[in-house]
Parts: sequence; C-alpha cells; structure tokens
Amino acid sequence: MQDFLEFMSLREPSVRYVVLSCILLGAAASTVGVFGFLRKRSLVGETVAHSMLPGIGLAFILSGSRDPLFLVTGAVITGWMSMGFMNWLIKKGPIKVDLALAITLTGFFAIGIGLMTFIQRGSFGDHSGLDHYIFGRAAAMDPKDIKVFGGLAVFVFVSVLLLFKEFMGLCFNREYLSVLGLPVRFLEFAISFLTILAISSGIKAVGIVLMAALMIIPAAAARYWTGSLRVLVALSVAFGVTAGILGAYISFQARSLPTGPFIVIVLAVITAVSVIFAPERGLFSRWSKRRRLKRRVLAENFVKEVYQIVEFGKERNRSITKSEFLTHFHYNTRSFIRSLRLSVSKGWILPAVDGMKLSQKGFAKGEELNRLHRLWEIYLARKAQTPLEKVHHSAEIIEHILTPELEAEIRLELDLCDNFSPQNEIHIKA
Amino acid sequence: MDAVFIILTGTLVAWLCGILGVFIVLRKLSMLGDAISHAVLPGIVIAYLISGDRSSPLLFMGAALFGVAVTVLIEFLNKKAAMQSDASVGTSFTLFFSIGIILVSLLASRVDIDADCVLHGEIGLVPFDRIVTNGIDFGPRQLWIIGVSFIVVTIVLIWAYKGLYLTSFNSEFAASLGVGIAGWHYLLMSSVSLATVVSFEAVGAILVVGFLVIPPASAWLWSRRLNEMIVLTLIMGLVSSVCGYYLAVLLDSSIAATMCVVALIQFVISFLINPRHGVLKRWIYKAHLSPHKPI
Repeated sequence: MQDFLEFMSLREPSVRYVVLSCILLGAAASTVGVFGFLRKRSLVGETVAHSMLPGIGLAFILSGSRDPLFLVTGAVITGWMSMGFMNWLIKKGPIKVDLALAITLTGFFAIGIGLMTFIQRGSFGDHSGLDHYIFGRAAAMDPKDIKVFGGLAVFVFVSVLLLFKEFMGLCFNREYLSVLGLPVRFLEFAISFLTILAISSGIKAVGIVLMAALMIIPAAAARYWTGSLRVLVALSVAFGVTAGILGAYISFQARSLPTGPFIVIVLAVITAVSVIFAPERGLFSRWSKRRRLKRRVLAENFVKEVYQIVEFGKERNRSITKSEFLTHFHYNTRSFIRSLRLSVSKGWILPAVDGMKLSQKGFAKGEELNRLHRLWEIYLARKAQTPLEKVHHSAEIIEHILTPELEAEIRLELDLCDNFSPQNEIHIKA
Repeated sequence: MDAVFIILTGTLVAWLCGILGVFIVLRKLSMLGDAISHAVLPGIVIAYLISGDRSSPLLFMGAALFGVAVTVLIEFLNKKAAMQSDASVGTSFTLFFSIGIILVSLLASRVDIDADCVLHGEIGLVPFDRIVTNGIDFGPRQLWIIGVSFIVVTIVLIWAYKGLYLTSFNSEFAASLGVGIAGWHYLLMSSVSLATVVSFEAVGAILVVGFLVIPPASAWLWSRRLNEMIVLTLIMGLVSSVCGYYLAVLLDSSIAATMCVVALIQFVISFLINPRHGVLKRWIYKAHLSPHKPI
C-alpha cells in the first residue's frame, strides 16, 4: 500500500509520464471499444492488433530505427491492410466473418513473426526493445514514446467525443442516419480508423497480443451496469483507466514482467464483479428475482388448489386437512410443507384447529387465479383456435403473469361482461 | 536428414490441426478455435511445473482441461450472464492467455518455456531432441508425440465421423434424431486442445490457429464433399510444410511462421481462382457482360 501511494503521488517524473500515457490510452481504447462492442465487432480489434506486428517489423527494416513514430506508422498501415483484407474476403466470396477474422489474424501474425525472426537473425543494428511491442512493457517507455502514443490516444479520445452523436446513430440506426443525409460511409471509415489508431496507441504499453482486451472488456463489463450509452462510455473509460493505472504500477514494481497480462487480469476482476453483482443484469440479482418468482408461483398454485377444493364444496370457510388436500393433488411431504409455509407467510392461508383454511386475501387470490386461468383458456380456444386439450397447460403458466390491465384488454377482446365468473366452470383435476 | 525431420513434423502438425480444423471451419467456430489455442497456455505451464517433464501425460490432461474450461466459460458468459457472444469470446481467452503469460514470465527460470516459444515454437530444434534407449536412436521425440497424436485423433475422428458430420451440417436435424449435440461439441473442443498442446512446442500457441483454420478454409473453397475437403486439407498441409521450410531456409526466418505464411498464400490463390466462387471467375464473367461495349 505504501508503495502504491508513493507511486500515485507521481513524484518521479518518469512515473508521471508513464501513468499519464496509460490513463490516456486506457480512456481512448475503452471509448472506441464501446462502439465496436455495440456493433458486435469486438473481435475485429483482436485481429487488427495482431496484424500490427508485420508493420512494426517492416517499419524497423525500412527505417533502420526504433523511432516510435515510424513503428506506429507501420503498425497503422498493416492494421489498416488487415481490415481491408478481411472485408475483401467477406465481400467477395463465401467466407464468413468468423473465418475471415481467424485467417487474417493468423496470416498477418505469421508474417509478423517471420519478419521479427528475420530481424533477430539478420544485421539490422540494435533491435532490442522491439519485443516489448508484443506483450507490452509500460515501464520501458521513454519520453519520446509517451509523446507519440499519448498524442495518438488524445487524438482518438477527442475525435470520438466530437463525433459521439454520429457514432451513436451508426450503432443503433444506420438507415436513419443515411436518410438524414449524413455521410454514413465516411463515419464508418472514421470509426474503423479511430479503432486502429486506438489499438496502435497501446502497442508499446500493453502489447499487440493483448491490446484488444482493453477495447473489449471494459465495454462488456460496463454493459452490466447501465442501458444508457453515455453512462456506458463513462463507465468503460473508468474501467479502462483503472486498469491502465494498475498496469503501469505493476510494470514499475516488477520490471521484468510484461504489462499487458496484468491489465487484463485487473479488467477480468472488474468484469467478474460486474457479472455477479450488477443490479438488474447481474447474476445475483437475476437469480434472486427468479427465486422470488418461483416462490410466488409455488404459493399461488397452492392457494389456487385449496380454493378449488373449498369452492367445489361451496363452503368457503371450511378448513381442510392435509390428507384431504392430498387426495386431490399430488405433493410430496417436502413440497407440501414448503408451499404451505410460503402461502402462510404471504397471509393467504391461515392455520386452523383441524388443518388450514383460506384467509380473506387468500380467497380473493384463489378466485383471481382461477378467473385468469379460465379467461386465458377461453381466449386461446376462441381467438387463437387452439385445440381444447392444449389450452390448460398454457393457462397454468400465464395465470401467474397476467396483470389487471391485460385482463381488461382480453375481456374487451372477448366481449365478456364485467361479472364474468369462472366459478361454475372450475377445472379440478381430481 | 534434419530437414526431413522438420518437414515431417511440420506436415504432421498441419495434418493433425487440419483434420480437426475441417470441422471447426464447417461449424463456423474458427474464433473459438483461436480462443482454445490461446487458453491452453496456463494448463501447459502448470503441468510443466508439476511434472517437470515435457512429454508427461499430465500436460495433455492439464491443457485439455483448460481448453474445455474456456469453452465452458464462454458458454457461461454468453448463456447465463447474457454477454454478447463476441465479447464473451474476447474476454475469456484473453484472461486465460494473460494468466499463461504471467506464469511463463514468473517461472521463466523453473520452466523450460519462454515467450518466444509461446509465439512461434521451436520447430527448428525438433531434430536435436531425440529418444535414445539402450543406445538405439528412435528419432526426434516431438515427431513421435505428434505422430502418435495424429493417429489417435484420426481414430477418434473415424469413430466420431457420423456424429460430427451430422452435427456439423444440420444440427437441428441431428437433434431431432436424438444425437447429443453438446457431446460432439466438447469432443471436438477437447481434441482441439490436445492438438494445440502437442503442436505448441513446434509452432507456438498463436500460429496453431493458422494450421487449424487456413488449410481447411482453402480446401473448403475447392470442394463439394466432406471427404474431398479432408483430402485437400492434407495436401495443402503437406505443400505448405515443404514450401514453408525451404522458404524459411532461404530467408533465414522462423520456419513455423513461414509455413503459416505459405498456407496463407495458398488460401489467397484459392480464393482468387477456385472454380466455384473464385474472384477471378467473377471478373471474367463481368467482363463478358460488360455494358461498356456498344451493341
């Protein structure tokens, strides 16, 4: 912790610049990443990132220097070529997106690895540090690197913010944009180009192999927390920046370790938390919602069945015993006790001296469920021409879900008068 | 002689990956294949660490476990946690691969693999690591491992041919016949993990995908039947291995990467000139129908 505070105080100038550039590239990658994510093209980033390796190699061979400006230019060019190649495959032949991605990724990467080995074995001067571009080494960035990569990140970030509305339209309603007369093809070009620039801004700090993760994972994690695009972008930026800072920190602590993998681990932890605990979309919240529904359905079924027994005998205040209940419906002891307990806790069933009986509320509930059941059966039979033997099963499910508004609408549709009562048509399995 | 061993190893890697790749390509699971080949890395490193032996069966089990684990994680994120499919693939395998890379860098001194090995393997070193028992030289160890795996996978595929065939082309029909789709899926995925582990030392974790996907894709462009596609995949694998080796020697570059590049060149040529959907054919066709000529 002490170390971390010391690190975050940014007293050392070298630390300051590296942290700054990690923040910038985290922000740039995760904003652009959101749009890739929403267009369901997350894996394009993966392919483009891997395809930057031959560009780096070629730029080094041609220029003979390790100047980041040359290397980034090479990376952007081959990244761009890979995107073109991929689109060409998809457009001109029977190749599907998935296959095109895999072929382009490995093909370009193989060329890159070939070039890298060629450089290592040949006499091209000092090539040390080129391998940092593969898995990333944030701590190895010098001021010149930071100027180039940080500048790229700022450019990407600002451009995305300026074109935010247009990109939003591109994700959700492309046709509408073209009707409005906006240059859709230019915008698509812009978003692809910014994606490539965002990836290239991280090739030294995060590395080409894992750079795509910084575009995919923040957006995927943020999606669990919100449905609004603005919040989505803000949250992804927050996640991306957090990962960037921690990645830079780890890189300084353990100088021999690559940065990229640690950034991915941080992002994975954020994702795991989001997947499990996010309200509404998270696993925990959906699980508890499902559990509540399940318990409600159990209790409702139980009350409905008790109602059917007492209503059939036309004595609504009669209490019934367990054995009597079980002659009509099949329950094992465990599920009987569970359902009874749930219904009692809802206040629908009252324990009586010689068994159980319906409360006022329970009676109303049972009546309502039977009515809805019957209503749905009639609706299916009359309006949907469903065979009579099939209507019961569907009604068993729908009776728990129909709201008063829907009920009114169905009645209107069926022309049923207000005092429609199912009581003389109750369905008893016994 | 060394050249023969290297080419033979390369060919066997291409064949092993190719026969599995045929089904991967037909099932449109190419990126899942990519994910698996990245994700087995931590399994390989952990098994190396525990057994300290590069041909221990633990290695295969560890890797197969991680290969299936990543498939399950992807499926879980996609189905249970409602993450869109491309993002769930991207999230899962980068995580596994990162764990692998961290383990490799942390344990670099104790494990006999490094980042270079992960990237492109060391097929050039295959002839030097031999099995010698009682003074008799049985040939390169890698060649044996890959060869035996190829035979095993071939036997499994022959046994599973009908199930894979049915579920690859018409999974709804297969399901209606009562064929378990998930079972064949996981059989294929664990075979892919096995192939990745076996080929790992020779060609590295990322280039495996090239051998898995590119030759079958080229073969697919030329063929109408599954058996034609398999035979063509084997031929393409052989050609890319032979040409790749000599090109690599000529350029003094990585052998595995050059083999992969040759496979890519084969693919591009197939894409241009294949008689069914070839781009060239369409150009010619268009030129004939060209409206520019006055009638």
